[in-house]
Amino acid sequence: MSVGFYFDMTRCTGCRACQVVCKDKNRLEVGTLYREAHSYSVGSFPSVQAYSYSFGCNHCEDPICLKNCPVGAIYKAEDGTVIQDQSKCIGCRMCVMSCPYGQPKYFPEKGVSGKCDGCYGLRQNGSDPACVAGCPNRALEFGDLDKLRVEHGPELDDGSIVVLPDPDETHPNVLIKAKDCAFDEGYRELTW
Amino acid sequence: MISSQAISRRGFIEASGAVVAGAAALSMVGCSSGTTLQAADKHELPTDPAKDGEWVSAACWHNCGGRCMNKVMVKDGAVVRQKTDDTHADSIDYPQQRGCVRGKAQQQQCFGADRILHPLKRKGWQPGGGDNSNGQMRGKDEWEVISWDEAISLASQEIKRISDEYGPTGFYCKANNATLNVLSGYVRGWDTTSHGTYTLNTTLMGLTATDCGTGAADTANDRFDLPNADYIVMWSSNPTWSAPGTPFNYWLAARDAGTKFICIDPLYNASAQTLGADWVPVRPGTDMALMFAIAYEMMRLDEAEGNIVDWDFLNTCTVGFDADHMPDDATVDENLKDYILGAYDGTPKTPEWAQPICGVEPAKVTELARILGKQNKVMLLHNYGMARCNGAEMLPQMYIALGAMGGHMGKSGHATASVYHANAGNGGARLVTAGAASLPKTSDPITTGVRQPQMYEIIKNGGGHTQDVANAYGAFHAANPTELGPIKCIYHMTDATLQTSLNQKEGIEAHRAVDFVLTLAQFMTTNARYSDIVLPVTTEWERCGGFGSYTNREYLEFYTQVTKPLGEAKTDQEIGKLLIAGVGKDPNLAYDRSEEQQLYEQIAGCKVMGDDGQMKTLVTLTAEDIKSLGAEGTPQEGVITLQQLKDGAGYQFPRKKGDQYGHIGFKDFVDDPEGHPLKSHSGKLEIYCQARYDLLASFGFPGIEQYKPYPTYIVPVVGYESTFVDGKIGGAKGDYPFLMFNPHYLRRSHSVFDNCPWLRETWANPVFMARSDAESLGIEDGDTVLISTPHGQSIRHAALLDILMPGIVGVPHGAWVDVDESTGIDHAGSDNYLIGSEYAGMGVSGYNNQICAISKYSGAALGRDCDMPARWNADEA
Repeated sequence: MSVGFYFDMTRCTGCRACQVVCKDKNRLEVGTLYREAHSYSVGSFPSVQAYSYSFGCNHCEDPICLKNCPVGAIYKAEDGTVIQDQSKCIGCRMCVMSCPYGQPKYFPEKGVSGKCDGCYGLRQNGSDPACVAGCPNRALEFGDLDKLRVEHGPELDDGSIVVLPDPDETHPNVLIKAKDCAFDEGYRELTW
Repeated sequence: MISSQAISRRGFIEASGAVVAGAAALSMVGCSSGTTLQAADKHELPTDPAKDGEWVSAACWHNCGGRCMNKVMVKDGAVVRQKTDDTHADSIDYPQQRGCVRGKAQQQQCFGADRILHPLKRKGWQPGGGDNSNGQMRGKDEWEVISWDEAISLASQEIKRISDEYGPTGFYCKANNATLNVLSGYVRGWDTTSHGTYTLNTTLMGLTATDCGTGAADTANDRFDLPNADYIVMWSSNPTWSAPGTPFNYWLAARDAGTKFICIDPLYNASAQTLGADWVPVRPGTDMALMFAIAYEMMRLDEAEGNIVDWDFLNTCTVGFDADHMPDDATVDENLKDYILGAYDGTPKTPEWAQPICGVEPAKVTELARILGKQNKVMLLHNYGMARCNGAEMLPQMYIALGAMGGHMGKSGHATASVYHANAGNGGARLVTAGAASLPKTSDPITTGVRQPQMYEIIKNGGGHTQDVANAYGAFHAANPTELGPIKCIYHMTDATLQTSLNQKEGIEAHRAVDFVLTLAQFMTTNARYSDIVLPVTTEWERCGGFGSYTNREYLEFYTQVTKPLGEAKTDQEIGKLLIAGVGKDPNLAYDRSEEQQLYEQIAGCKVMGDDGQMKTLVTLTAEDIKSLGAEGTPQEGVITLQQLKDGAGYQFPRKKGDQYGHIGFKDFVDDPEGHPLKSHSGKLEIYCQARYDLLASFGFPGIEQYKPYPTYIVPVVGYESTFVDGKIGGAKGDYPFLMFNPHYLRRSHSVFDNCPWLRETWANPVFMARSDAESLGIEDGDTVLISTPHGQSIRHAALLDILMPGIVGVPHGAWVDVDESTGIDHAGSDNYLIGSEYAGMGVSGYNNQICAISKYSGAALGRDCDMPARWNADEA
């Protein structure tokens, strides 16, 4: 079994509510983000299109963070969630440096890394991950990838939109209902 | 409920740190028996860190108008997490009322480490006026913590002195306030802040007041009707930034049903991006030129091809469009149609005429004219940015004319209306409402009102002449010429005026010119920074509960107390009573009952729509319930219990497609214009409106000679024309070649939340520049740039955008001004620091069509706002 996120790009407005609700749930201070939304435009004035994407841990099928952790602090829970046992972390930052998605984050003041656990604890109580439950526009879902694929149809992208790294490296468990413009290499970030 | 003692001085940050440490400790217990390697197998899977706490319905009460659901988890004496609506399964029929990015950081507001927790006095200030006030040090001086007794004594003594010497006109406060009505009286300020020129008595032309938010008379249709439109024109409208809770889901539902969207805006905004809207870039403040050109093309196409203009609608529902349908009170024998055709000035308002002004390609205008034709179902849904422009006085009349030309009113799939706040795209009668508390009626002993930006000049000059035309928002009257004496005291009770009104630089000077500035504040806001005494006021999280002041058609937010007041903070009512008593008056004149009693009255008065279309009592209250609220009253029968009201964080009216609670704006009127006349003189929509013009003309403000009782193109006192040397479009550009507008921005609700660290990190607040403009100036993305206007200068980072019209600069609205006293340059990008007080016509504030220059800044580069120290640290006290 694999779990991961479904992202509906056609509903994401780039409001970054997911980013802040994640900081709230994980009590992250300024400087650390487990999830972040960015917006991009394609084309030039006045023929432009734009889209947003919410980046987070993809609970990869082949998590390189897990593979590269020298102390075995990162493991897969039974449901496929990639989880870190922070008490074992020696702060070597191998996970931080090896993740192509830049996901595990290093806390210099604590000398350890940390990462998204897909709000494992909340899910055990029947809730959605905080970013999913907090999205005002219902752009995110989390769950069994096979079920999400059945529910949202076969036309989903598996993480090959141009703002993401090649999915072949870690096989991210992410399903994206992408806009066509998200495959245009000539994108520019909206730094507003 | 948690006690303030449980919250450390640094409040939020330390309280949350404690919870994180606790969770870590728990994991370590789980691992303690094993060796390092064995521990992996024994790692306790994460649990909900908020487990075993209590969820409390918490206020999210700001001037976004959202009214979404916010809950906080209180555990071990601290707020450890927030969440939004999960009280029922989510569906588009019955959606969860999920809050926005700002509401999720609400805890950093209420428990912010920068809360003001004790009364403060500016060190250099003493009562008595004149040199005692040492006014030039406002904004620069140091602060000292004083006791409540001393604060009230000092403030009362000074208020009494000024009151005895100058009377009520010695005081100024922008907004109506019960405390001040009893305390001293005050001159009020008026401005056209939110609704722009729609504040100028639109009821006279047949609209509702400000064209929004009036329930059964709403001009917008119910949300379930949005998908019935072929096209929705989002004119000056970006709901996902300006109403970012539930409403945008309604718009997405229309898109999913096949409705096409058109965005008319200087910016291809976030809503338009998501909806895949067709973008028509238009220069700020030039929308009327585009409207005239569309109207011209509609008439041309109608003549050439037919089936574009709905003449029946124009003839039966409007007056003033053509010579045959003039209102009987018209004093000018002119009409809109002949103006557009050029009969009066020899200039037909063709697309080619409009293009140099508004920047829209003529072919695009023709395309829009076809779309707006009567054969299509069209909703013209506007917000108010385009009405907050110099020269926009007649925009409401032109906008309604455009909708009327296509017959886009009173029918399913058609609308000509506003979209605003929680009801953006969801018009109609309120299905659930809160009651009102019955406090004594108080009123200001004087009625004088001054145009807010002009107030600063009057204060600096020690008085002066004003054309008093309003003393309340959106309520103008014929001019009452008034000579004002000196104003010696400025009050900031509930407003954010010094930050949110234009002409801020002169505003700071005015604050330095008076004897006394008194502010109630939660943070070192801009108002507070330039004050003498700051009284710490509670947030809604520290009060007994409430409903918030705006209304969401389907959801009535109800919140309860999260914590006892932090530090020495007091409620507005408690402070008001102390001040009133301080000057020797009876506090019961303003506040004769407890806040708990008021809350009970609001709960008892809640109403919900019944099956029969009549509003019914919502909440059942037993004698025990009333006692539990700390109130006195009579038990009552309703449809939900008090506990259900609390558990549900209010009440959401269940809707479903096809239910009986739909609404079509203007339907009664359009179906039967004679039987259901509007409130205008003619009973119809007045494209030519004599009454509104006569009111406007009575003000005697500069530039009135340009105006007619029907819409014409006005050269604004400041606007696009002003970017040229001689004011002629197409000539050489002047010293301020860019047009500047102030989009609402998701870091803040106006000025609220601008201090929250998470939001400062999330939304960096750059200045928006068109890429081609920046490149021609050698500016790269992220460079620190200097924005200069005739009135002030600010520095910000530049965001280079391909989604902004060239020639336009966007300075996001509401950043807390941060003036470098050595250079006079603001480092925060405060929009109002860059805008002056020029006015004409009705005196509309030109928030969105100012002029500016922009250049790469030669001084030190700005850092990130989220790395800057807060203006205030509770530890300092």
